[in-house]
Formats: sequence, structure tokens, C-alpha cells
Amino acid sequence: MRISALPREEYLLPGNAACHGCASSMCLRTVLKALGKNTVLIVPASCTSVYQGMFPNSAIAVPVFNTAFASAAATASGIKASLLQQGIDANVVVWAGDGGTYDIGLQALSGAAERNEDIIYICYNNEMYSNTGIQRSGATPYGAWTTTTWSGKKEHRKDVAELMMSHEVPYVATASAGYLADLYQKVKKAKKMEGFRYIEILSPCPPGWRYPMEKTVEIGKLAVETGMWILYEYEEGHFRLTGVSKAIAEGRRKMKDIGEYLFAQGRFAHLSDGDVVKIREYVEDRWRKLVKMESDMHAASAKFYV
Amino acid sequence: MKSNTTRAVRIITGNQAAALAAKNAKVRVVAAYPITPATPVVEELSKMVETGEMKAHFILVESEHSAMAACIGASAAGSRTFTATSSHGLAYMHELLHYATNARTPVVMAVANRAIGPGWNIWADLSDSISQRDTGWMQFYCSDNQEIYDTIIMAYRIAEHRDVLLPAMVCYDGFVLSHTAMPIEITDVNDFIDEYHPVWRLDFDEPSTHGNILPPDYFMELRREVCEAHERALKVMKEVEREFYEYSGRLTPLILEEYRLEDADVAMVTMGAISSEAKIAVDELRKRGVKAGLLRLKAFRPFPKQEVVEKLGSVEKVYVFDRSVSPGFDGQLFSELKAVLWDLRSPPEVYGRIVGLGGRDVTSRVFEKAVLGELDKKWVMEVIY
Amino acid sequence: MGEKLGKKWEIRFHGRGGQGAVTASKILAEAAYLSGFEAQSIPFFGAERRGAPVMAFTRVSYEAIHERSQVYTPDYVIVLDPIILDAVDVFRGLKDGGSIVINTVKSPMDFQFEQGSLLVATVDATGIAIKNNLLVAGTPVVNMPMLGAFLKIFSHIELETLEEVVMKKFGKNGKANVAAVREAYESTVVEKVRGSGKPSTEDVRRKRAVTMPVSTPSPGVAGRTRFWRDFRPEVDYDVCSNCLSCWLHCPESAIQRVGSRIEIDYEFCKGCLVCSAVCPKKAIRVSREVVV
Ligand SMILES: Cc1ncc(C[n+]2csc(CCOP(=O)(O)OP(=O)(O)O)c2C)c(N)n1
Ligand code: SF4
Ligand code: SF4
Ligand code: SF4
Repeated sequence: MRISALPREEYLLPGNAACHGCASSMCLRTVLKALGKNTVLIVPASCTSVYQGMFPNSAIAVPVFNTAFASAAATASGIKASLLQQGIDANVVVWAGDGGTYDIGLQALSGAAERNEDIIYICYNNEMYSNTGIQRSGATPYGAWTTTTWSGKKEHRKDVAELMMSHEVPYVATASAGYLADLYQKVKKAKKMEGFRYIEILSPCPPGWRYPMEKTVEIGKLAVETGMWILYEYEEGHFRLTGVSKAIAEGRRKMKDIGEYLFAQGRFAHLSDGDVVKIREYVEDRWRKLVKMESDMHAASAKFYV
Repeated sequence: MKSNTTRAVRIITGNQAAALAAKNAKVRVVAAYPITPATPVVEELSKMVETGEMKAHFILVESEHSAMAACIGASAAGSRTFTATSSHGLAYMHELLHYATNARTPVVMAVANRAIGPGWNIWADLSDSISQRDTGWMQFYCSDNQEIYDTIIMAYRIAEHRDVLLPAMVCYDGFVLSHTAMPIEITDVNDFIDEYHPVWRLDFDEPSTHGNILPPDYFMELRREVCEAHERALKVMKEVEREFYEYSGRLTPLILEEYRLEDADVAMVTMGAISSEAKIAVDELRKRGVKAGLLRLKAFRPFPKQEVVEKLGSVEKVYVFDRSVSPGFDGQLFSELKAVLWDLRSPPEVYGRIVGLGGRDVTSRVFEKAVLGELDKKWVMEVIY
Repeated sequence: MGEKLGKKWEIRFHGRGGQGAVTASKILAEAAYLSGFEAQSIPFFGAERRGAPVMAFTRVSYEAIHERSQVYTPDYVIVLDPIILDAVDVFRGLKDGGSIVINTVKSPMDFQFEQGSLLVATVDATGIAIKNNLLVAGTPVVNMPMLGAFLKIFSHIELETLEEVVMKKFGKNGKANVAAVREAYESTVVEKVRGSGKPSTEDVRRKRAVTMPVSTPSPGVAGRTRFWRDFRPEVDYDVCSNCLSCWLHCPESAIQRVGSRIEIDYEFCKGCLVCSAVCPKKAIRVSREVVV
């Protein structure tokens, strides 16, 4: 798509309190362009609750309701129910970090997904708790340094996007700050659908991941190019890889070595060769699993139609 | 004898009364999670919503934490909301109880009072709601099922009043009221309570951000505003009480109820269902020549300081009965009452008794014996009948 | 120590997130303690953002320090970064007759203020940091040289004591820091400067009722974020193909589409340089933000 097709309206106003090169703010800006003014944003405790600014001012120009850390999906359910009762049609959208999604907010998220609430839940995944100063979360990858995993995290991350697919909600998509046009289109698509829609954005964080501020987009791209982050869509039961991930799966692009991604970031600087092998294996396993999922899906639908 | 056939009287439990009140109060969003002894409220409401008898959206949340979060969101988006819970469920909501107050969302909640474990105890005890005392919610304690119905309806009028904008919990003893059926009048309140007209709500034309960072420069202003709203609520409560009386013919107290207190030497002070038993004791004691009276506190928050001082200003002795306790101190009502009476030039002697925890039954004999000086310990352990 | 009883100094640091104002306040407290004083170091309470204005405080006293509140009327002010001078009023509350140390290439006489007179000390700490190779991610770190400059006007702590603490704190970077401390100490220029002597009586404390915790959208919630900028992106319109990539990626909404071209809003651009990094034409040049 042409970038010029994106609306000029800004709903994330300049002069906010996000760090230099913050992918979360970068993506929120794009997401709000896709959603438009008829949107209410539900924000649990996170960096976003800080960078939107302090009373009596706000950096976000659509209605925002800030809620408790664990409560984003539940609060959104309430807001949607209320608007429905009043006959108001609006996009009810959660904007939450991975802490508010993977960890403390998981129960409410799972509940809302299972009830198929008519909301869009967007997780900007910076793979840690940034707001409280870089602590591990359930989304932190193996080996990453945080202030609660000083010598590197000992466990692999969990995957809530996959968990959402197993909830069989109408729409699940992954995106990356490296590909904003793709993000824009996925949000646009989600907006047109009904029921529970989940979008997870890999959202690099310069101070937390320890890379120079201008490299946010590059890191977002490298994650996908190395297979660390996989772009896909799951739509009404159909799974497919998208964008660069699809190109790699189809052999149109070569997957880059994981080291290019890892060693561009200070949080992985201490990794041993063994650690890198471990991460590579994990990435390859996941990659195979998702590629297989796509081909199984094709096989199944082919069988169905003959 | 009054005619029992012409009025809309039904013999129902406290929980049913709560559910019907929510329906008749034009609640449009319910989010609730089951817990004994409040579960029947949840079941009743879901049935009424499913059959279309109640025009509302029921969010079948996965926890009480989410129930309150959903109510807060729905309220902020412009709907009248309701939930019901008890005990562990209420404790689990704690974070969001504070949230509802500062958010100024007038959510109303029924609380079937129950103890908190371990060990698991599902029976009457006010500790669950009393320990939410400082969350900024208005709290009303009922002593019969009619009161549950009336109070929930009136609670919306108070909570949503532009001078108040505070959430409210309407509490009633688990099982003792929640599961006991009594005849109550299901007054049609259509003209008493209108559809919800929020003072503030999410607005798409003039977007604003609710609840972002409130720095030290402003936070105290908000908290003071909440406290002043509690003070203003007392005035609003008097108006609503009067209006409801004119509307229904029932004087259902919102602040306090007194019984034979005018000329009393000894006053008993109670909250909740045990207050009813205490009335029996008043009559018994009077027969024996003891000039006893009863002051039942209906509102625990806002605490009607002025009114309590006026009522107890001329008695010699006060016995306070708490169906809850603050470990490390005393019964909470006892402590607060003493604090209030401190303002008097010559305050009465005040004694505190802890009764009925975890569903231990409380009979009129307990009150009688306490006033007669036959129960001189703080803890009343025995069931006396 | 009889005549010293009751003697107490309050020092306020101004810096920008990431410049080490908080570290400086702590090291000063440590050096003061080693010199036999009671000391206290108070950090900025809140989410510190790189580049955003921050404050920190140090109290030094002959007696036990019972204050737990912030410092409102400091005896000394230390300004780590010249950009701060435009962003906040660093003279606010500074006692008449007090002292201020500023990292600047200007001279003491160049500063105006409302106090009757102040001891103004200036030092090119940025230059000294660069010279001594005190750089983190290409940015000069001036907090230690600024402490050296401070000791020029604060005689109660020996330079050697400060150097000892700095050495311990910085390990292998200790030597370079100590060298910078000493160089700053030696090159600091101190002068007594007269001010207007007419303090404004305006009460800056805000008074308002807050019924609902509800805020209104407006740009600049974090202030004029141009003060966060160390690097300045500039579009070379001769090279720019108007592909809009920079516009799409600016995290700050600080690039606007004006007519048929893009323009950078320098009031709010934080200088993250994402725009420059994503420009396929290399049309966005980067220069260090000039500071006079
Ligand atoms: C119940 C509760 N526990 C802890 C916190 C403190 N807290 C606020 S934000 C946060 C981390 C948020 O992490 P994430 O959701 O990943 O968002 P990010 O900060 O990365 O944007 C924590 C732990 C809180 N606000 N509430
Ligand atoms: S810490 Fe990371 S996520 Fe948070 S505002 Fe800064 S860059 Fe963005
Ligand atoms: S440097 Fe570029 S991308 Fe960064 S805020 Fe400024 S204009 Fe936007
Ligand atoms: S990215 Fe470069 S070429 Fe494209 S519009 Fe911006 S400055 Fe021009």
C-alpha cells in the first residue's frame, strides 16, 4: 500500500513523554490512524500510562480510559456493553503492554476472548516491564538481560498470540514495529470484523533492549528477518504467514542469522555460544511449527473442497 | 388489619430482592461472578436478562476483579451498572473498589456479608465489607429484605447525584437475609428513578483521557473532593429518603434508625440483621424496667457523625455490637463510635461486644444480657436462647 | 565545632535524564559523609526519561538531617546541561547570595537573574568530558567534572576526598573521571554577579478543584520536547523524494505533511533520528544540536 494513503490526522500528539525512538508510541500513532476518531482506548498500567502525560493534559486525542494493570480486557468488555446498550457504535480497543497481557492481565484477556467480546485487543510487546524499569515478563525471550534476570532469562517466552488462536477468536495477527504499513492494514482489517480480535506487535524499546534509539525500525525488521518474530494472521480459523515471514517460508527470501538480531542489542551481549544455539533451536522449532500449521491448513481446506 | 392482597407483595429472599431492585432501577449493564451466599443474585439476574424481562447486558466475567473492572468501564461509558458479591469475591475486588471511587463511577453493588477464610466459612460476618471501609464506597447495612430492595434503588439516586458521584455497596447478612424469605413490597419505581443521565462519560466528539497520571500537585484535590462528596451525600440521602417515602409510603431509613431511644438511659448500637434482634431485647428490657433503646446505623460510610452525637448525647451507657473485628484492636463500629462521642462534653460510658462472627447465631438474649451486665467480656462466644 | 552548629547546605542539581544528575547527587553525599558531615541524596521521584529535564538534591550538614522534603530554597544550584537553561528556571528559589555552577562556554557575567547577587561559576564541562573521553553512546557525560567545578565554590569537601569516591565508583573509568574532575576544578571561572534584585511575587503553586480525574488532549504534555534533543535532523529537500517513510515512522508525530512536502516540527522533535535511519534517500542530515 502507498504510505500517502494513511490519514494525515494525528491522534498521538507531539511532545509526549515516550523515550527517544519508542516503538510503542510509534505503533500507537499508526494504530490510531487506522482506527480513527470513533475509538475508545483502554490502557492498563504500562509505559503508555506514563507517556500519555499528566493531568490536566493528555497526548492522546481519542477518548482514553486508564484502568488497573490486570483489568484491560474486562474494562473494555464493560465499555463495549455500555456502548451497545446505548446504541453507540465505536471501536473499543485495548492498548496494553506484554505485562498487562501475558502476565497479570492474562485471566481477564482469556475471559474476554472466550466470551468473544466485540473488542480489539492490541498488545505492544516490548518483551518486559518497561514502565517499572525493565523487569522480566512472560514474554521475555530466553537469555535476555533484565533487572530481574541479571545473568539472562533462563526460560523461553510463552506465546499469547498462539494462546488466542486456541481460544478460536475471529482474528489474531502479529505485527512488528519494523513494518508499520503491515500493522496499519491488519488493524484496518480487524476494525471491519466483529467479535474478539487480537493483534500483537513486537515493539522494540531502546533503553530496555539497549540499542541506539534510531535503530527501532531496523531491529523490528531484523526480528522478522531472522525468524525471531513471525508475522501471521489467523482469520476465522484460517492461519497464514504474512509479509516477510511468508516470503521466507516460500523461499523468496533467505532467513538471516539470528546473531544479527541478538548482537544488535545490549540485552543479549552476554550470550554464550550455547545460549545462541539454544535460541536458534527454539526459533527453528517455532518456525517449523507455524509453517506446518499453514500447510496443514491448506491441505485441510483442499480436502474439504474436493 | 391491612390488606395483603392489593399490594404487590411477594415473599422472597434478600438476594431476590436485590436482583429485582437492580432490574427495576433500570440497570443496563451487569457484570458479576458467583460466590456463596450472593450467587442467587447472579443467577436471578442472568435469567431475567436472558428472558428479556430485564433490558440489560450481562457480562459473565471470569472473576470479581473483572466484574468490578467491567462495571467501572460500563459506568464511565454511560450506563447504570450493578454487581453482587461477598467475602473473598469482595476482597478480590479491593484494588478496583478504590479505582471506582477516584474514577467517580457511581457503581452500585450488593454485598451478602460473609466471613473470609481460611478455614472456609460461608456464613454471616460483616468483616468482608467493613474491611473495605476506606475504599471510599458508601456503605449501607440492611436489616430486612424490604430494605434491601428499597436501598438499592435509592442508592442509585444518591450515587449518581451530581453532588455525590460515588459508588455504593448495599450490604446484608449472608443467609440470615440473603437466603431468608420475607414478604416484601415490589414497588414499581418507574417514576422514582429515570434512565441514567451521567454527569460525565466517554465522549467521542470531545475526547478526553480518564485516569492518566495525577501528580502531587493535583492528587490531594481529588481526594479532598471525594471526602467532601461523602459529606454532601448525607444531605442527598435525607432528600432521597424523604422522596422515596412520599413515593412509596415507606420510610426506609438511609442514615440511621432509632427505636425507643427518646427517653433511654442505655443505648445499644448495631448494624445489619442483628439490629432486628436487638429491638426484641429493647422491649424485653423495658418490661424489666430498664430504659433501653436502639440506634441502628444504616450508613457506615459516610458515617453520620452529627446525627449519632445528637441521638446518643443524653444516654448514660452505650453498648456497641460488632459482627466484625479488627484484629489488634476492637470491633470497628465500637472504635468509630467512641471517636465520634469524644466530641461530647460528657460522653456516655461506651462498651463494645463482638458477636456472631462466621455465622454464629445472635439472638435477642445476647443484647439483653449484655445490657443487664451479665456479659462482661468483649467476646460473646455463646449462643444464648 | 561549636560555631558550626546549625550549618547546613542544600544543593540542587539540574540535568536531563541519562546525564547522571542523580549519580552526582549521591557521589557528592558520599564525599560529604567521608569529610565528616551528615549527608542526604534525594533522586528525582518519577519516571526518568532520557533527555527530559530532571532534578536531584543533596543536603550536607554538621548535624543530623531531619528533612525528608524536597529542596525549595537551595544554597547552591548545579546545572549539568546548558539546554536546561532554556527549559526550566534554574534560578528559582536559589537564596540571594547563594551560588550557581553552570556547564557552559559562556562567562558568569552573561547570566541574568532576580536575586540581588549570586556567585556564578562557569565551566565547559562538555568540552572537558569530550577531551577525557567520557562518552556514553557518543554523548559526553559531564556529571563528575561538574562536581569538580562545584568544589571550586564549596570549600567544605577536599578535592582529594571527592576523587577518592569517584575512583571507587567508576572502577576502570575512574582515572579518566578523576582527571576530568581535576581539570574542571582548575578551569572553573567564578565571579560575583549582581542581579535585578526584584524577585517576581507571582505564586506559581496551582490551585484548582479536581472533581474528575479527566484530562484534555493537547500537544506538549511533556513540555517542549525539543529540549530533549541532542541531535538535529534536517531534510535536504533537493534529495528528498517525498516518499513519506520518515513521516510514517516518526514516533513523535513531529513530522508533518505540509502541502506536498514533509516538515519537521522542531518544537517537539526529540532528535531520535529514526527518520534519518529510515530515509531511503539519505535525505535527512544529522548534526549535533548547537548550544551556545
Ligand atoms: C497490580 C499492580 N502491580 C504492579 C503494578 C506496577 N506496574 C505498573 S506498569 C508495570 C509493568 C508494565 O509492563 P508492560 O505491561 O509490559 O508494559 P510496559 O511498561 O512494558 O509498557 C508494573 C509492574 C501495578 N500498576 N499494578
Ligand atoms: S521504556 Fe521503552 S516502551 Fe517505555 S516509553 Fe521508553 S522506549 Fe517506550
Ligand atoms: S528525529 Fe525524526 S523521527 Fe525522531 S522525533 Fe525528530 S523528526 Fe521524529
Ligand atoms: S524519508 Fe527521506 S526521502 Fe522520504 S520523505 Fe522523508 S526525507 Fe524525504
